[in-house]
Amino acid sequence: MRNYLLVSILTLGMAGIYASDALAQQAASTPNLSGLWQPQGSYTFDPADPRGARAADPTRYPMTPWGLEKFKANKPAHGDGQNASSNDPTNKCFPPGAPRSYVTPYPVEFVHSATRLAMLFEYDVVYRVVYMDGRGHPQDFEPTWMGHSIGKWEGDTLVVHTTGFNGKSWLDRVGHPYSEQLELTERFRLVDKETLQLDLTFHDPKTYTRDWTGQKIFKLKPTWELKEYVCEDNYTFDEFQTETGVKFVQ
Amino acid sequence: MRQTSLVFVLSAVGLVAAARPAFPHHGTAAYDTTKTVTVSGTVTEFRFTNPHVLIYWEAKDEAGNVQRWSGERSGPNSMARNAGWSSRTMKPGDQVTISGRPSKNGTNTIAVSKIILNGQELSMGGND
Repeated sequence: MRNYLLVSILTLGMAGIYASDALAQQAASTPNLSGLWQPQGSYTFDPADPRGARAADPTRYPMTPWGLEKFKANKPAHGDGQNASSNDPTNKCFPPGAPRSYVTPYPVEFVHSATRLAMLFEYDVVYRVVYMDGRGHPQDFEPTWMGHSIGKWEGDTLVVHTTGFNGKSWLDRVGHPYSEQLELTERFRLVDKETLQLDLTFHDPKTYTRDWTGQKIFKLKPTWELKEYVCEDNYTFDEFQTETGVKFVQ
Repeated sequence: MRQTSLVFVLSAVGLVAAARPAFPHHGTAAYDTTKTVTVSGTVTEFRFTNPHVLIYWEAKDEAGNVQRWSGERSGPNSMARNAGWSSRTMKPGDQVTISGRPSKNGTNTIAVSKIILNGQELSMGGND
C-alpha cells in the first residue's frame, strides 16, 4: 500500500514537472507579448469605422430588443453620435472594464510569463490577469468589471476566453451595451515586432442576436513608461464646467 | 496689434473641418467646430490636470474691458508624450495668442488648437 502511494505521488509529481516543462517549452517557442502597447483609434473595435458612424447599423451590431433599448439609452461623449449631455459610465469614474479598457487613448503594459499575462492599464490605474496555467473558469465566480480570463496558445496566437462580466460598462466609447451573459474571446497575434493585432469575438445572446467580431491594433512604445491617470482627478474640472457650461459629467 | 488686444477670427467651415479635434471624456459636442476664434492675452493660470489641460488667461476686448478666457486641450499624459508639455509649460504672466473652436453656449471658452507662447508656437502633438 505504501509503495502504491509512493508510486502515485511520484507519478503525480513527475506529471507536474512535465506539465511545467511543457509550459516552459511552449513559452520558449511562442512570442512574448511583454511591453507597453498603445491602442490605435480610441472609439470603437472597428478600424474601418473609428468614429462609430455605423454604431446603430443592425447589420454590424445585431442587437436584440433588450440590447437595442440599452443602446438607445446610452449617450456617448465621443464619436459621430456624441452628446454634450453624455451618460457614459466612465464620466462618473466607474471603471471601463474589459474590453473597453483597450478603447482609450492611453497605453497598456503587458507583463507576460509562462503562466500569466498581466495587463496594467494606464487609464484609471486598473489591471487584468489572464491565467495560462491550464486552469478553467471557477464555478462560483462573482461577476466583475474585468471578468475571469484564461488563455492558451494556438500556434502563434494567444487565445483568451473571459466570462463573469457584471455588464455594467459599455463595450466601446460609442455606447454598445453588453450583459452578464457576455463571453469574450480574444486572439492576440504579433504581426511584427512592433505591431500587435487583437481580434475579438463577442458572444452575448441577451444583447446580440448573433456573435460579432471586432479588432484592435496596438503599437509597441519601447521608450514610453506608464503614467498615472486617476479618474477622480477629473473632478477638478468642476470649476471649469461651472464657469463655462462645458459639461462632461451628466 | 498689441498682445493684449482681443482679436476674433471667424473662419469658414471648410478651413477647419479637416482637423477635427477629439477630446477624451466630453468630445467636442460643446464646441462650434465650424468656427475658429483667436484671442491674445496674459496667462493667469495653467492646470496640467486630467481629464484635459486647462489654460486661463485675460484679454482686453475692443472697449478695453478685461475678459477672462479659458481653454482646454487633451489630457496631460497625451500632451506630455506627444508634445513634450509639463506643468511648467506655462505660468501666470506669460503672453499667449490662443486659437481654437469657441463654445456653443457663448462663454469665453475655447477648444484649443494652436498657441503662440511668448512669441513661439507651441508643439500641440497629436490629439487623442
